[in-house]
Amino acid sequence: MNPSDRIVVTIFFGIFVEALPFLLAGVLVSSAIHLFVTPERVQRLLPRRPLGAALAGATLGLVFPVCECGAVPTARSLMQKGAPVPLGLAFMLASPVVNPIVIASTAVAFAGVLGWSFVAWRIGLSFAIAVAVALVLSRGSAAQALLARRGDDGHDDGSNHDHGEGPALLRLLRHAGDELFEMGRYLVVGGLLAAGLQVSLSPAALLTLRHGIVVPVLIMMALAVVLSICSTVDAFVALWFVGSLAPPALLAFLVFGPMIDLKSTLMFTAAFRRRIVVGIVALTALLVLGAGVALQIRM
Amino acid sequence: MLPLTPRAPAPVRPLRPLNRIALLETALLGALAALLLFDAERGVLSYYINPRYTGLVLVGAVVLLGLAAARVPALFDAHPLRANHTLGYVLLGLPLFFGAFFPAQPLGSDRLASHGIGLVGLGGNPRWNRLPVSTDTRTWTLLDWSNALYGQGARLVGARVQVVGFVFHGRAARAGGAFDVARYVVTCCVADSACIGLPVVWHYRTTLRDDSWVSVTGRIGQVRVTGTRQLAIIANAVTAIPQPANPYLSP
Repeated sequence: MNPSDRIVVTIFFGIFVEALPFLLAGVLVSSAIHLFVTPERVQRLLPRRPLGAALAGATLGLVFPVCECGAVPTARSLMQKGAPVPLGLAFMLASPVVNPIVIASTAVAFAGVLGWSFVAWRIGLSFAIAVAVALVLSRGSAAQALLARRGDDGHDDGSNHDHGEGPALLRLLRHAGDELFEMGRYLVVGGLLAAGLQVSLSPAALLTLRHGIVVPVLIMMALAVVLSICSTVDAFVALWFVGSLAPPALLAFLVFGPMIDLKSTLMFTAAFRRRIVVGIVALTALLVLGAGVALQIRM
Repeated sequence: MLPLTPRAPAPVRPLRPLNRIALLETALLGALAALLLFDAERGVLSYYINPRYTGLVLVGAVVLLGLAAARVPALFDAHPLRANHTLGYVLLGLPLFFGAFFPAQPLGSDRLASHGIGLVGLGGNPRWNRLPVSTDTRTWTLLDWSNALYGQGARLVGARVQVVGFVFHGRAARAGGAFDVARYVVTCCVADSACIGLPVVWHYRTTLRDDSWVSVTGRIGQVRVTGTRQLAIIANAVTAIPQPANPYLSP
């Protein structure tokens, strides 16, 4: 076997094995919402106005601590139940960072190195960008114009299967299995792309371009997409670059990666129409780049 | 006495046709769970992830078994599942294909040809300012040495070393040294791996090949590598050893 192919398989398997438990948690939560939460309850409990919905969505991660693999199916289920689109969008983008596990891991990694302010910047910037993207992209459009087409029961493959009668646990597991077959394919394709790019691109070569104001931010954003690592541990990976790069470039890595990477971007297409996915990626990239460059200049 | 009359045979219930989609889904979910459990049993999960997360993967495998079990009643269901996940089946079958046909191997020197040693090693990480817990330098791993040498390299010249790693004939060999002793550091999974290593000066001829595992004993010294002075292990013993159960260093 070609050594490069072997490395691609090993890295792909690493990404897949590491992300699978989080995806499973996501599809279980999403299925529980789908089966046991009524649209009336969602609409009664959650704010309807765009700003309130986006703010609520960006903080929901504190209740549903999921990483990017689990956030997409959960957001999709919430929107299928009638949650406002800004809420779903903001939750999908913010919850991989604005959740207790990631806040704790960021604090453990960085509080003693770059201070608590760096931890606050990561959380605050992720929150603000998620809210901004959600408000801009959902402005003036009906939910149906933004969400991916789906079957009568909410599955985007056009199927209309039921999950039969039976105990609640059985129905939950059956639905979660369906969600896994639907979302798992994005994890596999994203993992393969990330592994292939990692073999063909050398991070060391990327880091030779670290000088300047704009390029380091861009490089770290690109690295976040290529590495596609889970937000629960990315702070420890970013720690490796502390001596080599300025804090704003590290922030760009830690804010952009959990929102946009290869596997999560592919998963977005299960929840939103393609043009909206393009909008999510482009607008998030612009805002993170802008914030990163502004902070570089301010330093 | 009543005459014996043959009893009419009980009516045979016709077998319901097997729901092939349910069978495929059950097999796929069950096989994925089995693959994870089998890899954990063989100890090769550590080739892919930090062992800290093995428990999480095992929980994932149990959930997959639950998902598979929930599909068993549908095997003879008169109303078969109608979802069409053909692409999902093919793509989720890929990890099984890789697991079955590509023997598990940890990352090694192949990756260093393009990525090199010390992208993050020996310079740049604030964690390296922290000294390892033990004061006995012979118990330090390559990561401990990276921590220590970053902060106070020159002061450690002469310290005794005993480290385990794999052989890489890279920059050290090109510069006239013997080889590098290297090891990957994996924080989460191999996607975030980075390799650290130290040149080993070894004055005896060796037939050690790249990726063979060695225990190197010696002292820290300074050598000139590609024109610059650099810390290295001046070895007095290099012993071939089997690959450790966890081939990576997992902080």
